[in-house]
Amino acid sequence: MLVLAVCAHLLIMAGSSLRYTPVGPPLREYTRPFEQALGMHQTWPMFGNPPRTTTWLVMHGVDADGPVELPQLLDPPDFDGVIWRYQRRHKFVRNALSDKRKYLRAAVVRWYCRQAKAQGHDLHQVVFDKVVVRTPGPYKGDADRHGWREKRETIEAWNCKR
Amino acid sequence: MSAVHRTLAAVDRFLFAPVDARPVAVMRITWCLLMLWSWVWLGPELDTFFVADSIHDPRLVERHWKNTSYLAISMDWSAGSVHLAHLGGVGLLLLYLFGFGTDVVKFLVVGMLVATYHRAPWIWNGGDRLMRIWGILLCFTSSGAVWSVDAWIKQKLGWKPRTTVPVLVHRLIALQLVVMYTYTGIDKALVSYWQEGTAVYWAMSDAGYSRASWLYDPLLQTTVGVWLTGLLTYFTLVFELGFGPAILWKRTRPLAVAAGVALHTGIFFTLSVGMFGPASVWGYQALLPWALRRPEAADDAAEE
Repeated sequence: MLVLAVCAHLLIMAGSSLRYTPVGPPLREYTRPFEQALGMHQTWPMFGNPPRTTTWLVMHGVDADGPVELPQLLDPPDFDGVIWRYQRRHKFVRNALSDKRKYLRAAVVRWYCRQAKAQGHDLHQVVFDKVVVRTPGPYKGDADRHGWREKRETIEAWNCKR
Repeated sequence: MSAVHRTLAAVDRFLFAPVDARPVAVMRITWCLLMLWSWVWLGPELDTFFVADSIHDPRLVERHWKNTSYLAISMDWSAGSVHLAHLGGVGLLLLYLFGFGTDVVKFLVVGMLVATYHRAPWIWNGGDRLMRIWGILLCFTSSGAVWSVDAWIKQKLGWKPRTTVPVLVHRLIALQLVVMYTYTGIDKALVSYWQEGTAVYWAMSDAGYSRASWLYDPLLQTTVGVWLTGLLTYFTLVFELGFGPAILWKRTRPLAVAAGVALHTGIFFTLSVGMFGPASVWGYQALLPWALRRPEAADDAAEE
C-alpha cells in the first residue's frame, strides 16, 4: 500500500513538474485529478517575474446620494510601517488584480452588496480603482517613495443586484 | 552476487534503510508548530473567506473553481460552524503535535488542509502548498514512533518500542526540494531581470511585499544597495540551480543547507511571503546528518 502511494506521489510530481516537456502532458492526463485533489501542483515561480510596481485596489461605493466610502478589504501598503504578519486577503487581492480573474472582483461586489443590505444600506454600485506606483529603476529613484509617481484609474463599476 | 542484485540492494538501501526515528518525530513536532501558527492566524479572516456569505460564496466557488468535486466542507456553513471547525482543526493539530493516534490523525490533518484549500482556493500561496505537501509526505512514515503519546502508551503496555523508520520520507522530501529549486531556478534563469541582476531590487521595491519599505528603500537607491541586490540575485540563481547537485554529495550538502537557511532567513526579514521560508527550511531537516543516521551509529553514540 505504501509503495503504491509513493509511486502515485512520484508520478503526480513528475506529471506536474514536467508538464512543459513532451513527457509531462501524457502522464498528467492520468495524474492531474489527483494533483488537483490534493493541491500539490509543482509551480514554483517565486518572483520569477519580479514586480516592477506596487499595485493595490481601492473600492468605493455609490448610493442614491452619490459616492460613499467602503471599508477596504485590504489597507493600502503602508510606506512608513512594517508588515508584521501575512494576511490572506493580501493574496486574494493580488489574485483579484489580475485581468483574467474578473470573477473575483464580481465576488467582492456581491460581498459588499450583501453587507450593505444586511446593514440596511441601499448600495447601488461598487467601483474598483487600481492604484499603481511604478518602481523607478536602479539609480533613478528618490529614496523616499512618497515622491514616486502614483497612478490611479477606475477599472470597473459593478451594480448591486436589486 | 550479480550486478542486478547489487543494484537492487543499493536501491533498497537508498530508499528503505532504517534510520533513527527521533529526527522524524522532530519533523512531526516542528511541522505541527508551523502549521498551528499558520492555522491560528486564519482565525481573523474566517468570516471574510470561509462562511456562506463571505467573498468565497457558493456562486464563486461552484462556477470558477474546477475542483469543487473535492470539496469536503459545505459551502453553506454559518460563521459559528466555521469557527467551531477551525477550533477543531487546532485540536487535531495538537493531537498530531503530541503524537496521539498519530497513524489516524495524520490523515485527518491532511484531509483538513485539502478541504480548506478547496473551500477558499484564492487565498493560498506556495508556502501553504509546500506545507500541505510536507503533511502528505509525513503520512508515509511513522512520525509518532517516538516522542509521542502513542509511544508512551505502548511503553506502558509493555510493547516493544519502535526506534527506526525507513529513510524513504527523507528521500521524498529531498526530491521535492530539488524539484522546487530546479523549477524556479530554470524559470528565473530565462528572465532578463535575473540575468541582469536586478530581480531582487525589483522584488524588494514592491511595498506590498517589503516588510519595511521605509527601512530598505534608502539602501536600495544607493550604489551599495544596487550592488548588494545584484549579488543577492545571482546568489539566489546559483543556489537554486546548484541545490540539486550540491545535496547529492555529502561534502557539499552542509553548504547547500547553510546557503538555503541564509537565503530564506534573508527573505523572511525583508519580504512578507507567508510560510514559504519556514516551510522550505523545514524540509532541510531531511538532509541533516542527524536525520540520516543509521541505528548502529545511533547506538554507538549512545554508548560513548
